[in-house]
Amino acid sequence: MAEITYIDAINRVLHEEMAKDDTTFLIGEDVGIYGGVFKATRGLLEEFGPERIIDSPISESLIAGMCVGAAMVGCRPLPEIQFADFIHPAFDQNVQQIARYRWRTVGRYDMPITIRCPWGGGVGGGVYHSQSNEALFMNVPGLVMVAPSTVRDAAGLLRSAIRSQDPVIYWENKKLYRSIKDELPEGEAATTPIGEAHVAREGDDVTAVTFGYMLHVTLQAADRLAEDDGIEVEVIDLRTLLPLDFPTVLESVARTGRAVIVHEAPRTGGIGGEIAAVIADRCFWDLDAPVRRICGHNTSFPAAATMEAHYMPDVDQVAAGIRATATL
Amino acid sequence: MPLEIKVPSLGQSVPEATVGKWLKKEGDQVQADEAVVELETDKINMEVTAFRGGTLAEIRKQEGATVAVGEVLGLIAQEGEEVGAGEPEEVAEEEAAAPTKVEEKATGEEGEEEPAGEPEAEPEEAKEEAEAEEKPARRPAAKATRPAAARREAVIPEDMKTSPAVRRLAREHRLDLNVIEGSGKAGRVTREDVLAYLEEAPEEAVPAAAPAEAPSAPEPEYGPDEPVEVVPMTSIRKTIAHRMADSKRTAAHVTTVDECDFGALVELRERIKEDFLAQHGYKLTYLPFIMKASIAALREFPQVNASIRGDDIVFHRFYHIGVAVHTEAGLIVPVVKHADRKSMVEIAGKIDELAKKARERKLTMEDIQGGTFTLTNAGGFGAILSTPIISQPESAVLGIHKIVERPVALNGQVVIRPMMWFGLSYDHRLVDGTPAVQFLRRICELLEKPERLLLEA
Repeated sequence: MAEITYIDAINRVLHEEMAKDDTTFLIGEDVGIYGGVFKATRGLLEEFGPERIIDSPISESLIAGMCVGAAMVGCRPLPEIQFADFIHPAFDQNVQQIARYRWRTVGRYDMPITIRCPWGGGVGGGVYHSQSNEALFMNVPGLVMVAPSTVRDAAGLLRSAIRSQDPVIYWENKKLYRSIKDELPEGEAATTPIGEAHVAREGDDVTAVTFGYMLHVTLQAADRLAEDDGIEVEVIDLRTLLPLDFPTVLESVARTGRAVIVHEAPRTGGIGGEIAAVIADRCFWDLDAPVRRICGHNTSFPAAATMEAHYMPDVDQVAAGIRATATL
Repeated sequence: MPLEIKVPSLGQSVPEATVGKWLKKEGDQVQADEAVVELETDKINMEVTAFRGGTLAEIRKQEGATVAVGEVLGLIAQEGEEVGAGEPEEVAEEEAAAPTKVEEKATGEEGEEEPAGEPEAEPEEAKEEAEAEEKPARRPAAKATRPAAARREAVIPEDMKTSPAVRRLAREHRLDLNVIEGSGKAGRVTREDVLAYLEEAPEEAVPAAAPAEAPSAPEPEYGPDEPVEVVPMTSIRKTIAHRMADSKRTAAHVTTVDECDFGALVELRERIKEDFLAQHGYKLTYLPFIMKASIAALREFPQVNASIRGDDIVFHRFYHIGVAVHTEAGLIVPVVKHADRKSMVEIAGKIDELAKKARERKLTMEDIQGGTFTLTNAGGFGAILSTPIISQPESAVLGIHKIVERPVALNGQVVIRPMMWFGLSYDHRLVDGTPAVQFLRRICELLEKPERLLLEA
């Protein structure tokens, strides 16, 4: 079986799922003729035609708003926000309408919308093309958020998201688009359930909770710690950010007694705070050390390459943080 | 998520109970507020009701099991709910989903469920067992829990920095952390140190056992003609033992004694007691008079009706007066709530009712909680003087004794008068000697001239 990239996995699932369900349609900036700025949607216009692959004006509020109406009349919209950084003009549609509609209409209207958002730094994108803004939506009941970190989960979670009756924000990591490759099983075999974290590496000494590109950084740090310090890190790939899979996290932390959370987004108000709070609440009597967060800085995302390298947690920073928690 | 039926608070003096009869079987329908199971303590019996209707999905604690406050007795599921199911979409709130699988472990309960008397029980084993269980609902019911006792016995020095996990282990195994060598940063005792210690010295794993309560004398050896019978303490006996010893350790007990001429009160009571019994159906004793006189004195000396809380003094601006009652099971102190708002007749009725309930073991938690001052009568059995122990967190207790005819000097003449010695034990941390003596004198004065009770109490 040939290995494919993360972005190829996304493209393949879009092809497969759109072929299976003719109520699906894709809308976004440059998704049609151009095939997406990252080429995630290449070939779709040719296969499904301009009625189902729609090049939109540069207006995220229009994209999201149109999807609300389309969902109400029975469609399964697949909007693409060109960069996660651009989702804010559609904040109202996402939060007030897409997330609330089923509640507001007492279950009459589902919003089976999958909002794909390329996110994350490490690509030299500067302030408007590098953000990790998942935390802005953590406080929005009604939304589901997934953030695949592997090729298989990129395919598997996209398939589950498209089929879900819930609105799902699908955070696809730009840094991972072409930097990782894996074999992808055919069709249904590549399905990842929403709401389940994955233990990406087993260990007994300390639990590291992460997602996205940071999973790969953390796994490298874990390998280094095992080799240099004999510290065995259990690495949990969250995969779904909302709702968080706390049973998996808490089971691990109760066993290791130590927890570290790694994410790119700024520390303050990041989802690491929520995870730390629940760990403190549920695992207090099992803890051997305070919960540590290793995060981006409380600044806007820098453009200069040297600053970007410092801003994003790297293997050195993550290994040092985990070591400090493991040896406290 | 299924509703957990938990052991409700049994009151500060009752850490555990015995599961009585289950009024519902597994699979039975349960209405909201319907009684599901009975709990028995040596003090009271109570019914636990369901907060929410549904089906009794699981009984976790069978009849006869000893349970601690907060323990889960069983589960009530609503239609379509599966016990232990963790589908994230159904339980979208992660807060709700999380504890179903992990809470027991996370809060360390599986450790605390080990009976305190079995130090050899392996916590790690219990933990692995819990981890292996996908559905906590299927966990085998654990045995008795005595978190309070375990906590009382561990030694965790206040100035020692230790992690929550280490503290929990110390409590579970009643360890003295002073004796464990720390290998962590700055010599800190780590979880690994505790586990290593337990592994090496399982026999000594209980060195800290109840330093304050266990008699320090060595276990006596009995000869062949010295027959002994060893019986386990009932839970009420254990409660009394803990609370009495606690109070003695905590409060600075002083007892002051004063004598009271009961002549006028005896005469008054003799005059009206027959009518009273005929009218109300219960006897008029001296207790309502003494309670009324005490309340008048408490008003004047509010520190006697107060408690110490940390560095604060809590002055109670209400008067809940406890009355110690002897029952076959042991001492129990029901409380006359807001005794100051009650008439003498109402107080007499309430005392009669509480005493009856105490003897029949029908007191509720409500009946025995919240006292601010206590009366204890040792006179019924003949004592002329005693030095009672204060019921914490109150600051005084009034010992009532036998009324004895004594020759006393009155206006230069020796006369025979019905006299009583009152013994007031007070907590000298809060109440100074002078006000304590004045307080007791005030009670005596009011009882010596009972007509003043009409005006002042």
